[in-house]
Amino acid sequence: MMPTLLPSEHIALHLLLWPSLLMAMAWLVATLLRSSAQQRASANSTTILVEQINALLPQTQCGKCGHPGCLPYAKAIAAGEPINHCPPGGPQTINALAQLLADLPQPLDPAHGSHEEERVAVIREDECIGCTKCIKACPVDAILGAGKVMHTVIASECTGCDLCVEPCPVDCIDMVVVSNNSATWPLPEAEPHPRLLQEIC
Amino acid sequence: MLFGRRHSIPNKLRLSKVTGGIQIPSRKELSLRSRIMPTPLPAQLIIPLQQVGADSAIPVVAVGDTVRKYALLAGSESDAVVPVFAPASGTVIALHQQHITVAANRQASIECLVLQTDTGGDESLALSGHDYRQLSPEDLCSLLASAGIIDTETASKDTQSLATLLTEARKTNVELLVINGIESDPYMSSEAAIAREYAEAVIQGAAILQVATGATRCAIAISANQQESRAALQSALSGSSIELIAAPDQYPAHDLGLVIGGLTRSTPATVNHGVNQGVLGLAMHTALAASERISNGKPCTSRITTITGMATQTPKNFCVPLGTPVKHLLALCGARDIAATTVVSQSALNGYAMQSLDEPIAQWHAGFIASAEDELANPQEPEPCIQCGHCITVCPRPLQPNQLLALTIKRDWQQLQQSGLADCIECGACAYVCPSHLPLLQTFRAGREELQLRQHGMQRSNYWQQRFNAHQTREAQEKTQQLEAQRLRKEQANAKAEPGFSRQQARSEIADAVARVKARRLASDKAATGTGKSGHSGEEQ
Repeated sequence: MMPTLLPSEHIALHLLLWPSLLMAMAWLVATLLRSSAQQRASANSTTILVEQINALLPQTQCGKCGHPGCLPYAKAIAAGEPINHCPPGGPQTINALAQLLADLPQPLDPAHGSHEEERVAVIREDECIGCTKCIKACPVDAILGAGKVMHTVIASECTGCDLCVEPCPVDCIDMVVVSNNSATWPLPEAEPHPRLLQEIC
Repeated sequence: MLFGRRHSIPNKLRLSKVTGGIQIPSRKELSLRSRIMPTPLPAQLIIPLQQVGADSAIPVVAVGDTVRKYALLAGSESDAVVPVFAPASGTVIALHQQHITVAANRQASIECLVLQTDTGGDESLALSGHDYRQLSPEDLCSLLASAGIIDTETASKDTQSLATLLTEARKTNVELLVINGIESDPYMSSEAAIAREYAEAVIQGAAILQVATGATRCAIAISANQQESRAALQSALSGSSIELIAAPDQYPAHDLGLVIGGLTRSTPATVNHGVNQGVLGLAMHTALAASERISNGKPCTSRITTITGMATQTPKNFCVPLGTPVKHLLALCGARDIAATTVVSQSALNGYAMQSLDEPIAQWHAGFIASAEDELANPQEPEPCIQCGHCITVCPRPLQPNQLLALTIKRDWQQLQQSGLADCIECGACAYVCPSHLPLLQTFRAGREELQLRQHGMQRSNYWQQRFNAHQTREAQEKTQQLEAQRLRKEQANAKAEPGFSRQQARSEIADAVARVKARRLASDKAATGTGKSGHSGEEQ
């Protein structure tokens, strides 16, 4: 049974109750706001990280990492997948990724293939039957052709992903090493003098 | 100063000393003692069909053909190709790929044509010249573009075909054309020799190029300490509107970026070959070649090259048919024991040692130094950096070479981009003064190439990404279109049926009818077996 309150007690109760209630509500609102902001921020930082990772991947869209394209692999790396699943990127990409993610550089995982010289697909045009299977397989639309007419690869657009090789029913696609001649001259090794490495850095 | 006038060109053109730079005792007098000498033809000329910075030309002659001097050997319709002409009459004996040093540390496999020169007289095509005053700028441009001229910056850092430069100049309104005859290298003297001996032709070439580019003003820049050359140009210039600029005696005053920065009184920026801030810089060789082309009709088949160094007995400048092997010239200068001497190409400060002396002379070769022992500094074991800061003082750009070196060794490409490695002009002043003999120039060269390559790779992967995204968007679109078409077909089929028709209802009606028939059959079967009272069971339903 509630005892009747004196007027002074009534006032005191109001003075105590309302501020504390208000403060509790304010705290609740603030906490909710903060947690949603945190969530948004963490979502934001993940997108930025994915973008940064994606920028380091070679964008050949070959799918050798087991993902359908470079961006999905970047997302997977951001979610914790190993960084050594990209054969076209090779050691250079792995090192760059390791630097970005403060991870240790690892050797390329041989289960996903080996790092090879740059190649482009070339169709042996006499043998092409015009089935359009390679056109459908090409991730960057680098193959030109139509049904029952000869197809050809636009070399400057080809990423060398070799996704077109397997679907070809007559095996008329070769992966040819890009000749490193005149236009792109070979780079001299920026091999630092061993003494410089020891004593300056 | 008004902002609008910041990059405009002042009325009085002058070049003052740039911050940084070094003073080196000149050794030009070695090769300037004698006049430019025509080269006796070697037995064979090796002519590269591709010039640095251009695409490969397609040969128009075959092995076994005899050609006359100035005949076209290779060319193409494309603007990116520089045509190649025969420097002498003779027989084509081979067409093959050959490794040629095209820049420091850079070799390329280039298609070369080997010409066996005639032992008798040099039989040349009949050529006729024009008076440039009677030709329109368009005619001048097309004549110059088809002459096979390559413009080479003095230090041969950058080369480009004259045709491309002219097109660019005519697109952008060029205010000033600078004929850059500054040679700050201590050995090379080919520009000074040209100015001294062909002053008239150089000035005529400058006037031709001014008309062709449409530049409002034209100036010739030459090193202040080349008294004879300056005097020759000065006297030939009397009555002409072309100005003469004396450049300070300082290394690297020859750099086009520094020259343009100095003339426009703006901070020297990284300058690519072409029009910058309304100024087009061309080499003195280009002016000479232009004059030869227009006045005499001759395409570019030779250049003036310096052969000097203490290991030669009579160092001098030669008028060399392109394709002459370096060792032929060295022999003409009386170089002793060629195999044992180090021959440095291009410059004593930022040149490179020749790997093979059989290599042919091309338009980008300013000269060769056959150095005696101890003449040029020998490579020494590098010591650790002592942070003395000399390299920062001498750097003509606002760069910190010591910092850049550390970053290049760490391969911190992002930081290098920000620190301005791309702005380095590879003059080698830092490496010259470094007390620890650090390989600054070599490291920066390699680093700059790597930076460029990375930038190229980045552009390419961005492009692939765009293509992939476009491909995916298109696939998604195709899929939704397919689904939409399927839905439409269904709807159309429904619409064709009678109004109030429902497939489900029809199905249930059919099922009912089937059930009725079955029941009736069952009932009649029962009646047939004689249980009676059948009659109306069918009617009831």
